[in-house]
This record gives sequence, structure tokens and C-alpha cells, in this order.
Amino acid sequence: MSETVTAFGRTSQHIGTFCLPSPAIPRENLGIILFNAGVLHRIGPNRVNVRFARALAAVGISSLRFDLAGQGDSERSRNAGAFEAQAIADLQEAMNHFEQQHGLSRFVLFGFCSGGVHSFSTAQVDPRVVGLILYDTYIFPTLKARFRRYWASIQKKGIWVSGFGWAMRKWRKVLDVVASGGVGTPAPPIGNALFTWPTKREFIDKLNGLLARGVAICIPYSAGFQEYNYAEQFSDAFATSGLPERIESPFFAGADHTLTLLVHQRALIEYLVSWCLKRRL
Amino acid sequence: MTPLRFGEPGRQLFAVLHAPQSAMVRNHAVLLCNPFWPEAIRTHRLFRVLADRLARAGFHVLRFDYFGTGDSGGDEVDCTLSSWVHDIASASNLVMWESGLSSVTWIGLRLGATAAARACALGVVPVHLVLWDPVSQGAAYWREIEDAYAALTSDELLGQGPKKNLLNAASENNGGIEIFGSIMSANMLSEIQSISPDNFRIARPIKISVLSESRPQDQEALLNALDANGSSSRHVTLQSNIPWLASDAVNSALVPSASIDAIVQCVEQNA
Repeated sequence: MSETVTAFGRTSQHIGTFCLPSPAIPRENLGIILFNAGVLHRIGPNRVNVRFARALAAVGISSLRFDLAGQGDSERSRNAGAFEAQAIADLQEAMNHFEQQHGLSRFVLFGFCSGGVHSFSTAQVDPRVVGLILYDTYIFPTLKARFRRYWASIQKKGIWVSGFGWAMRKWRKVLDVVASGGVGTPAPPIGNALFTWPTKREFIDKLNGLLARGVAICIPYSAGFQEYNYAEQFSDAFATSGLPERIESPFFAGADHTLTLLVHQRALIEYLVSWCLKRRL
Repeated sequence: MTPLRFGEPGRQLFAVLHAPQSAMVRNHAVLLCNPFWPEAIRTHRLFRVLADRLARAGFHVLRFDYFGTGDSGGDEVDCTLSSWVHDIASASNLVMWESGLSSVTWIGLRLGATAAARACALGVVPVHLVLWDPVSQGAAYWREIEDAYAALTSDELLGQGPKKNLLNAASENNGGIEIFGSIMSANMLSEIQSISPDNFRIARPIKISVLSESRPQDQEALLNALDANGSSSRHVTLQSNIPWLASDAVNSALVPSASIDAIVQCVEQNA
């Protein structure tokens, strides 16, 4: 395994690290792109991107971990584009650079938390993306998930405190609907107002579009968000869509969102390395 | 900004060199020394902003990751405080080589300040040493780390695993301990726990600035040790009290602008 620093983009504004398999290992025609999780720089929370990159290199898969414009060690963009459009351009530049430097033309985008929004958007527009990993990004609660959440809350706080909290949230929703003239707005799945979140129908359509193009999709979840709290939640949420049969969606029970414990880091990384190996041609 | 890797093959360190971004280029370089790894992740943005500010003030600046941390080679278990000390000396040589200068200020944050003070014994001595919230009582610092980690890995947040994990960590990790997402070696743990103001005896007189929110009693021993060999240390009071290890803010970013202003001013005055 070797790691080399790289700067790329029109003004060498992006800084990143290639992690490549040792020459003794047959190299796959597949590159994994890793980048920022929220505001953290490219190494990821608890350095998980570094560990993932090295585990990939050990089985012959190259990766580039880099910082989006204005984040981590990268310079701000000189374009005045919107945040999401800039992130798509950044990811495409990363793929261009990977292609030029190492001759790879097929990529998997790893999106950690809100990074998944950028990976999802880029996959829609770039045919070089053959795989997509959306970790803790889009959460669609089911009736069972809501029940489990409230049941856990009742066990912890008692029925009266939990009931009052539930009533206040409902009342706030009524006020929102009244304020919006009766239309209401869908709440962001993970409470992040920075991005445009798809409705469930849009999400299904976009996933189906990617699957029709042959893009492999993995949507892993930690137990870090109360809204996603059991192993079959993705299957239940999309039961009639045909997606659960075509998309892997492992649930890492006990894992927090930033994978604080090594046992959870290793479990996710082992799962994803194995998943990536299945994507090779 | 120029990214680079340096060091021996198999022990490569990641660094970023910030060239002066001012018409007035100063004949002085600055080296930034990271704190303990969960704090280093939180303060990455802070160091980036601080380096940019110092570069705009005309300084050559180098940021780097210790071996086993950040984007450098190795794993956290490879770290010891002694290896950090050698990494600081190597990084200091690098920034002097790259800038062609022999005059350098070191800025160390928390455990990075402790390592920087120890590195002064290796012969590569800075003109000015800035110790930002230095760790001068290892036992107290280790308790702070344990408390923050215990809060982060409480049953409420993570279920049943972590406590078992803490209890069994030593046997499962060859004497090392799992803490904040990685393994800390037994050597590093022992080195941290034994930190005392005596670690801050600087071999030859230099300018030293100690920056912290308050000047608590335990810092008196530190300042006395710093001045023992003829150095002239001074304390600078910062306006912000930063919870570096707060469990509810791990993996978030910190950029205390008032502290950055004070540090840039401190470096300019002593360059």
C-alpha cells in the first residue's frame, strides 16, 4: 500500500491523498472517492476514511480521499455557484484527476452523512459512477420506527414526559402547516436544512434511475439517529417499490453515527470492502 | 498552500506549507503542533484558519500530522509522546529548509504544547515557543480524557458495549487502550499520565508565551519550570474557555476567532 499526496483542479485548489495497492496485488479497475463528512476534513470522523482506504488497498482497490472546495485543506472555489452544484463539480474533478493519474474510469462514491447528498447528486449526472454508498444520509421513518422510538422514550422518561414532548411536536407541525397556507413542508430526514431533500417518491424514482443504469447502491445505517432504529426499516419503508431486493441496506446496531468504537468501524469497513469487491468486473 | 509528505520511507508524515501571502514577507517561520487526536480532528479547521492568518501576516507556516494520526502514515497505536517530539523536530527542520530561514516559532496546542516543550531538548530550538492551554498535569489530563470518553460512550448513547470495551481494552489490545476511535499504546498512556511541570524545563533561554483562559494555580508550577533555565515566559489571557474534549462536540469544528487574533498578535510581537 502506498499513500501519495496530490493537488488538483484548475488552480490545484483541491488537496487529497491517493491510497494505492502495493504493486504485488492485482489492481481493480475501480476507484473509490472519499471526502468530507459534514464539516470534518477528508480523514473522516475517527479517521475512518483513512482506515477504509487502507483496507481497500489491501484487496487491490485504489482510492482518493480529498477535501471539497473551501473545506479541510482545499481552497475556496472562485466560482460563485451554489453549494450543491459546487460539490458535484468537485467530485467530477476528483474523478477526472483519478482517471488522468491512474487510468481508472469506474468509480464508487462514498457519502458519509451529508456527504451522501453530494454523492447521490453526482451519481445522477455522471455515468462514470458505478457504485454509491450513502451512509446515514436519507432516513425515512416507518410506523414501526416511530413506535419503537416512542416506546424507548417512554421506557426512559416515563409516559407523561414523553407524551408531552410528542404533543408539542405535533402542535408545531400544525403551526407549520397553517403558516405555509395549508401546504406544509417535508422535514429534512436528518434535520439538516442546508440541502434540498427529495420526497420519498423522488428518492424512489432517482434510485430506480440509477439502478436502471447499472449503478450498485449500498445504504448502510448506524443506530445514531432515533428515526432509524431497526434492521428491516429500509425494506419496510420501501416495501412496495422493489428497491429492497436490489439495494443492500445493512443496519449496524449499537453503532453511533461517527463510529466511535473500533468494533463498529471494522464492521462497516469489512462490509463495504466486501461490497466493493462484488462491484469489480 | 502546498501539501507534501516528508520523513523516511515507511514513516511518512503529511504536511501543508503556507507561503507568505503578504507584500511584507517576514524572515520568520511558524510551526503548528497538533493536540491529541480527537482534539486534532476538531481543531483542524482552527489550525487551517490560524495558518492562513499567519501567512497573510507574512510568515512561512507549516502544519503537519504526527505519524499515526490524521493523513500521515501509520496508526494511532504507533504514537508515543516521544515519537511526537521527534516529529516536531523533523517538521521544524522541514519548515526551515523549505523557507530558507533559521528563525522559527512553534505553536503547540494542549498535548502538542507539551510535546513541543519536550522537543526543545533535542537541539532544534525555536526562537519563540507558544504553549496554548498546555497539558502540564498528566494525571488530571488523563482523567479529563476518560471522563469525556465515558460520556461519549455511555449506555444511553451506545448501548451495552463500551464499558465492557474499556474494561477489557488492555488485554484485547496488547496493553494499549481503546480511546476515541483508536488504540492508544501503553507507552503513550504512561507518558501522558506522567506529565508534570518538570517536562517543561527548557535547555536554553528562549522566549515563551503561555496562553490560556485563566491562570490557575497549577500553571504557576509550569511557569516556574519554564523560567528555571533563564527563559522569560509570559502568560497571555485568552477570552475563550474552550471545551476541547466535550463529548457532545467531538467530531465537530472549533474556530475561536478571539484566540486566533491573540495568537497572531503574540507571534508578530515576538518574531
